[in-house]
Amino acid sequence: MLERELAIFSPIPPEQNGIADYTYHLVSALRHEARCAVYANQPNGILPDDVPIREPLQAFRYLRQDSPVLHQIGNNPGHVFVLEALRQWGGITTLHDQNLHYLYEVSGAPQPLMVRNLCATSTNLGEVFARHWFDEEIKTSANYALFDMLNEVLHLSTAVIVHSRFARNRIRLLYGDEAASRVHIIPHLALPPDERSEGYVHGVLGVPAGVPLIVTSGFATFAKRFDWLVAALDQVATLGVNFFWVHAGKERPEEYDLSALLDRHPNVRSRCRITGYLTEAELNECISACDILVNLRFPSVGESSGTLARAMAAGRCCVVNATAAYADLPADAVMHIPVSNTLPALVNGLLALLGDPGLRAAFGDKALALARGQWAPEAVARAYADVIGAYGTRPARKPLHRGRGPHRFSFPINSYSLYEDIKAQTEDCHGPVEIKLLASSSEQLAQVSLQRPLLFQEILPNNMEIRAVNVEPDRSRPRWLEDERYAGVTLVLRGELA
Amino acid sequence: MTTGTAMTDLPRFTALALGMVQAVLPGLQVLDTLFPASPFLLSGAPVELSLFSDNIPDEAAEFYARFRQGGGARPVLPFATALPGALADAAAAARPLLVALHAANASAATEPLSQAGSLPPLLLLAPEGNSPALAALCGIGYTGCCFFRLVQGEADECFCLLSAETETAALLRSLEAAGKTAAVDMRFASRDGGEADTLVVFLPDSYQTWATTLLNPFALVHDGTRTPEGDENYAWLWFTSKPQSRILLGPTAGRFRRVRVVVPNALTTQNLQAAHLLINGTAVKPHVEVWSEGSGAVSAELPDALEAPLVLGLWVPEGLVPEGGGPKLFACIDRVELSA
Repeated sequence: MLERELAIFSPIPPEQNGIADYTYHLVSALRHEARCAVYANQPNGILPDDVPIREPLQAFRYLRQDSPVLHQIGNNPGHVFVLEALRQWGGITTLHDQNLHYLYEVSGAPQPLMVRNLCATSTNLGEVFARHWFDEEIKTSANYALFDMLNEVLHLSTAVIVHSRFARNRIRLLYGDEAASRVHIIPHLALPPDERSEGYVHGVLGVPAGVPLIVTSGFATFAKRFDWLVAALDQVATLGVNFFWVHAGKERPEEYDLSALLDRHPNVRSRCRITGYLTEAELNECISACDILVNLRFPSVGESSGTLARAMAAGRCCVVNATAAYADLPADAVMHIPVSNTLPALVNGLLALLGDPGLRAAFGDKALALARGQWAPEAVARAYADVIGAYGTRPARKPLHRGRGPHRFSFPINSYSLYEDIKAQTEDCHGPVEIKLLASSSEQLAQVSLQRPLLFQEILPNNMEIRAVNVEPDRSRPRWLEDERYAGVTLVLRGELA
Repeated sequence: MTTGTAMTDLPRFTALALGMVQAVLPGLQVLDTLFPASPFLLSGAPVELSLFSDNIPDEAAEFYARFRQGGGARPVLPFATALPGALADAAAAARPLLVALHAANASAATEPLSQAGSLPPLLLLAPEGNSPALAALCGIGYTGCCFFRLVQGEADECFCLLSAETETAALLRSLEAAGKTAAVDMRFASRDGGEADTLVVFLPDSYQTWATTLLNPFALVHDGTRTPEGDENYAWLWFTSKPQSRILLGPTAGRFRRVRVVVPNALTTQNLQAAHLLINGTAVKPHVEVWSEGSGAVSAELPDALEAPLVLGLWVPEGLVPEGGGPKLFACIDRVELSA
């Protein structure tokens, strides 16, 4: 049992977020290893009774600099407060996604920090893409593929927990041995699908009894490679092998038109159902009732699948691609399908499984043994306790050092987060500083001055002494963006950061 | 990490001490420099809050900077900024101004006090006897000085009344008179050798500073975006924009056992029933009284060990954009009750 209370920053149920569910189950097991308190913006959150829910803003009441802190970070807006807590308190981070680009975008991270994150992947590429993005407002999907934005999180975390060797190796290749030395692998939790809507599959969905059932799950996206699966199932059906396929999840036609794909394959269309959004119990029933769970993924950015873990914990036979984190899974616990020449391999694999219940059972038994061993909540909780015990009470790592000035920063004067932005930028800086507050016109500047008479007091950090204040024309915009109507002005504050 | 020097070990009997000083200086206005601890928040006296930011750790300072006083109408300013205005207001109202100060802030207070046109009387939260804090204040002209100790069982709390103009003996006599009106046992300890005199006031075990306190919206220090509506007879306050708002209630530990928020409008009964209170940021499922559709009260027990200052959060899940637009409305409150 850890001595100090463990502070966990994470979304929690009822937020509809896989990481929220993960945290619930992790805390349920981890509370036997450590006193836990969860910091989340959900006072109505669902957690075991003896685990308090606290608001992140008042964490300062409960945390000391050497308190063990654990962050659960994923790539969506529900994790912005976790990123902010990591900056404030440091601690150990569980990285559920290998790319945090979207999180950084929605977090309103200041531009220099974004540029630093881009350049950490590749200095040359980062500078070019940063110029395109911030000066010329050009951003494409290449940004998301090339830049994972992990630099700050890796730097601030005393240790990082990932769910696969793939994830750790990826960090080693991109960020070096020192970063990888603090990365620990703890497998994803595997929870048996307890709560079930019995009768849902054969009753509500009308799946015929006695026919082998194939299940896929989640939002239908391109990366789940329904093109491969549908083509393979079409061939299987043409060969006269019986099956029924249920996609347990919603379509996202704007992202991937699964229905249109099925319309081109009537052989498959006649043997399939797309359920739409499912309750937890209905999804569990689909998983429990299936003979084969297919979880294809390509390209993969190293993500884990909660459904896959749940299916393995139910002793189901699972089919995955031999790529990224899925390639880490033991070859006798899941059927691996290569990502080259995929279609024939998938057809052969499905034919073998559909025709041999014993083979399905063999994969399922190995999966179940794995889920009840290393992936069981108690085993995962012990692994967490070991990492926390080794790192948890080490002081937070220092923010990226920006050193002695002169420092120059620009901010829009009408931003609602001026104080936070300026604080984030000037933290750990000392020496001469110039802060420019950009206004679109002198009228806007005058208006802000009237609305916020205590502007300087409200926005400037305590350690800044102002030496001079000037109003100057704004020359910060690239010439080609200027037009005759633009008459921006800048309130320039020059001073010293202690 | 939790609180600064001036925020810890706040005495329980500050309100009684203030009451005694009020008897000496009737009609006084108070400039409380102890924000966010603000021990005079619930005293009922007209109190303006100010702060010494150096004594608040950064993490806490950022949080408490959200709060505004006077029902949300005014920011809480640093002492040096607030003092000239408070002196001017007191002069305009022809009332004395009392500055409540913690010993930890005494030396930081000397410069703004020296620059003020006149030295206002001080209620110093300081241990009995000579101290660097006392020396610093004497150095700028606070020559009149007396201590009074309030004793109840094991609790023994000391205050120092300082003045630039009043003789120590006169202050003590006034305090003695004030104490007598409170019908308590007092002993006067006169010292030799130039040390300040002390009046010891023994409070009976049954003495309670307050049994119940009601706060109306105009008295609240909160982080909502709106100010109260209504008048002195009835006022209400809408919390808008975010599901959660926070109210600063000061140091209440050991004094109150229960908090109750009257919510005349939570939009729907479902919203009211889903409400949560947060005691110093920790979520509590409250007891909910439903009076009519969307109206009622939420209440919760306060834990025994409660770090000062108490910050009460009220959270409801759903908000509604009012007709004609504007920020979402979440819940309207009209009273906060604290009871023993």
